[in-house]
Formats: sequence, C-alpha cells, structure tokens
Amino acid sequence: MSKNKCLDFDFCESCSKKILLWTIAGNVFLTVIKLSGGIVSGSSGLMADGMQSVSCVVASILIMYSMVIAKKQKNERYPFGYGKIEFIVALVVFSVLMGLGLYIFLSNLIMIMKRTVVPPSIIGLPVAVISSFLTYMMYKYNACAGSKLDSAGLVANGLQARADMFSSVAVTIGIIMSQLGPVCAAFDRVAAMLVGILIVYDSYQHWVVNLNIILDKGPEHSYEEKVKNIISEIIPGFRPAVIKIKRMGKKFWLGISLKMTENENVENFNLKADDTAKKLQEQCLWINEIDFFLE
Amino acid sequence: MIKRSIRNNPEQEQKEKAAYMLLYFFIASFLCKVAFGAISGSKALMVSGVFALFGFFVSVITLLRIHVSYNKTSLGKNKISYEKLEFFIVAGISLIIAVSTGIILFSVLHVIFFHTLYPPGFSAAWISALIAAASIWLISAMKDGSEESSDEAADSHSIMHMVNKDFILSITVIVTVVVTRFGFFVFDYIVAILEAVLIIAYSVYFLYNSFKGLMDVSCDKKTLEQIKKSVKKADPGIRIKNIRIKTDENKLDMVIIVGMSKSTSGSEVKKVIEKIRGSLRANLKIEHEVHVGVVAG
Repeated sequence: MSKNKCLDFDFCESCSKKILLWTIAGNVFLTVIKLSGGIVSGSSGLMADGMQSVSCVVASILIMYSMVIAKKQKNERYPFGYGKIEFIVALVVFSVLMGLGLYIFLSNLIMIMKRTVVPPSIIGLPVAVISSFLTYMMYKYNACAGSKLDSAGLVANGLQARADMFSSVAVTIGIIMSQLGPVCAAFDRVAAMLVGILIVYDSYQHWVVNLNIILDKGPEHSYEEKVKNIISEIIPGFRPAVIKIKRMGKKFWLGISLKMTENENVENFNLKADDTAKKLQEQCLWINEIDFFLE
Repeated sequence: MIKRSIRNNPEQEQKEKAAYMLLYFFIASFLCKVAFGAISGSKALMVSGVFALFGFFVSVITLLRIHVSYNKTSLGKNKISYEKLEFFIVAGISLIIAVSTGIILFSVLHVIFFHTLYPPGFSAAWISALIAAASIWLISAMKDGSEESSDEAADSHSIMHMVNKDFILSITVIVTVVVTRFGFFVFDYIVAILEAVLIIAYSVYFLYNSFKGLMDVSCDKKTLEQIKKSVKKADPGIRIKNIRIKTDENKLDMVIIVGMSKSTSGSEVKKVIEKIRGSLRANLKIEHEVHVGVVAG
C-alpha cells in the first residue's frame, strides 16, 4: 500500500474527478494548438506531439469511465467486483504508450538515417513551451491523486502526461537548437529518440505490473504461510487446511477454512470468524475481503 | 512447436488429434486463400483468408488448453492463472485481427471509389472449391469422432462453427467469381467488404468474451441458476447469501455462503452442507469443488 495514502478519502476522490476533467480539457486544448502550431511552423515533431495528445484525450476518457465502473458493487455475475477494469484500461494505455515510444524512436531514427531533418520554424516554440508546462502540471496532479487513491488508472494517466511532457520538451529543445544552424537541427531528433526509449522502458515496467494483476498472479508462497501462522496464533492448536487466494483489484480475496465443532452454533462460529478476520486485516496487508467456510 | 503428449491417455490423444486436424486445415486454408487471392486478384478470397487465420489461432489455443489441462502444467513459481492468460492472448489476437481487417476494409473501399476495378481470376474459384471440399470432409470426420463431456462441447462447438463459416465463405467466393464473369466486377469488392465486417464482428465477439473472462465473470446464468436450485433443493429453509465462483482449469471452484438460524448447532450445519454437496454432485454436470460457509440470518 502507498505511503502517501490519502487521509481524507472523499476529498481525494472528488479531487481526482476534477483532475480527470481538467486533464481531458487540457489535452483537447493542447491537441488544437500543437496541430495548428505544427502546420504553421512546419515542425513534424510538434505534429507528432499533437497526435500523442489525441491519444491522451482518449486515454483520459477511458480511465474516467473505468473508475466509474470499478466502483460498482459486486453482484452474482461479478462476485469479485469490477475493480479489475482499471487495470485492464491501464494496460491498454501502457500498451499504446509503448507503441508511441517505439514510433517516436523509429521515426526519428529513419529521419536521421535518411538525412531528411528539416529545421522547424521558431513560431512553434511558444506552443512547445506551453505544452511542456501544461503536461507537467497534468502529470503532477494525476500522479498525486493516483498515489493517494492507489489507482492504477490515474497513475497510467499521469505517466501518459509525463511521456507527453518529455516529447514536448524534446520538441522545444529541437526548435531552439535548430536556430543555431542546420547541423544542430539533428540534436532534437536524437533527443526525441532518447525520449522514445525512456517512454518504452517506463511504460513496460508498469505494463508488467498491471498484467500480473490481470492474470491473477498470486502472492509469494510465504504470504499463505503468514496467514496460516496468524490464524494459528488467533485460534491456538488450529491450522487451516484450505486457503484460497484470488485477486480482487490490487488486493486479495481470501477464502479460509475454519473448524466448527459439534457444540458450537452458527452465532459462535460467526463471532470466531469476525474476530479472525479483524486480526488478519490488522496484521496482513492487501486483504480486500475474507470468506470463511467449514473445513 | 507444441510438445506431443506422452501416449498413455487415449482421450487426450483423440482430442489432440482433432485439434491438430483443425490447426492444419486452417493454416492451409489461410495460406492458399491469401496466395491465390494475390494471384487471381480476388479481394473476397484474400479477406476470407484472414478468417482462416483467426481459426488457426483459435485452434492453437485449444491445443494448448488440452495440453495444459491434461498435463496440469503450472506457470511459474507464483502461479498465474492459465485461464486468464488464455483470455489475454485471445483478446490480443482478436484486437489485432479486428484492426488489420479494418485497415483491409478501408483499403477495399478506397479501391472501389478511386481505382479501376478488375475481375478476379478463375483460380480463386478452383481453390475455394478445394477448400470447401476439405471443410466438408473435416466436418464429417469430426462428427464421427469421440463423445465429449458437456463442458468441452462448448469449445468444440465454437471451432466447428468457424469451420462451417469458412466453408460458407469459400462457397461465397465461388459465387462471386461466377457473378463477376457477367461484368459485375464490383461484386468481388462488395463481398470482400461483407466478409471483413463478419470478421470484425467475430473479433469483437471474442474480444468481449475475453474481456468478461479477465474481469472475473462468474459462470453463465444457466449454470448459476442450477447451482442455486441445487442448494435450495438440499434445504429449502436456508438462504443463499453469497456465491463466489471462479473457473480453474475447466473446473468450477465455488464458495457458497448460506444463512441459517444463529442457534443452529455444528452437527446440523454439517448435515446441511453434506446435503448441499450431494445435491450439487447430482444436478451439476460440470466438474466442481465446493466449500460452504455459514452466517446467521
């Protein structure tokens, strides 16, 4: 669990909604100015950056939608809830980011190899600077909300804004350097290639984390042993025979077998189960829900 | 290459044999259709080749599923769910095929509006007839094959459905080639567009089902109703509070929480649980593992 856990959940949640709406509006604005700036100045970097902003708009809308769905209560059809949709959408966003990073790297490499580097006009510079600043703000706010709420979707949105920021900075550098002469115009291509590699590397790490969650990767074997040991402490002389562990969003659902003696009744069994659940959740991290069944 | 199983399980051998037949059929269909589509200039034939490619991937996944379920292969130290991996792969393949078919669709539309149209060569009809004949042989060979348990019937039904569709697409190409001989060159392109739409629809269907699987959807409604009825049959007085079901290598893993009076004793609870287990064993055809918990109320 994040160390920056939100202390006022309602405030953080309402803040996250506003952040998402402002991110969408910001990206629409950036798309318009980048594409127009790219056309006027002849900067292909700025045009590519504009296309990236389009993907940011789509990603933000998808993430907002996924957060609404993720909050739905579990039901018969989805007994483990809807929490996984955030991770699925985040995975899609990171896949697109990796593709974009690869495209940025390859397209600039090809341009350098073909020696078709066309120095962009200085007119594109204010657009690139505004874009760098705005995307930085979007990254900071989304990352803050994402870490406070432990939300994969917001983290993905923040990292997408950061990738956009890097490419805007590369375009800014490129436009400034190209004013120093045609030789220097290639530097922005190299900078863009490095940005591409950084985006792919960064996105890949988050992609793997989200994929493992989606594929129900279980915790370390020691986690199950830890749960059994804690229960043995709570109920002396007893060690559960069956423990089922299943991903429920970022955390886990536990199904634990408990013994019910002939002399116990349902009320006693429930009290024992509730007590065990409470102590388990105090000592074990990453538990979402626990069900107890008879051994 | 998928490792052949050790030949000590005739049921597994038979299933693998069937899966291999389908795999070879679809890959041959894909290669022939694309090659002859390029040679003859038939867009309809080329697009129907994409459908065969889809069938090939589905056959590969079925083969892997048979291999894993019989050999109980585990995936890594911290075991990931094979079921989920399968859904993920199917989703990825469906998405790639949907996008590529969409691109093909737009390129065909572009040709219709901006380029000269040409009739396809007759070789398209010949190869389609051959593939249609192979489809008929395969369908009859599979029907003569082994009986399947109901839980496997759904999988083989969907693959045979794809073989049927491949057969229909082959016949459609033959008809298209004949019609274009009367001067309706655009017919080939229109059929290609319709086939592309069909492939996209199939891809979206597989993508949607994979998405539901990744979202931990429970079993189908019919099975869920059967489970609830079986539990109620065991003891009409109990209330079902919660049912959590996950599929685990073609087996249903259930945790059922029932509500009983808080004064019910441990021995009575155990009797009810035994009745529930017996009722599920009798009424549920699918292999399953059930754990029952009890709460007051």
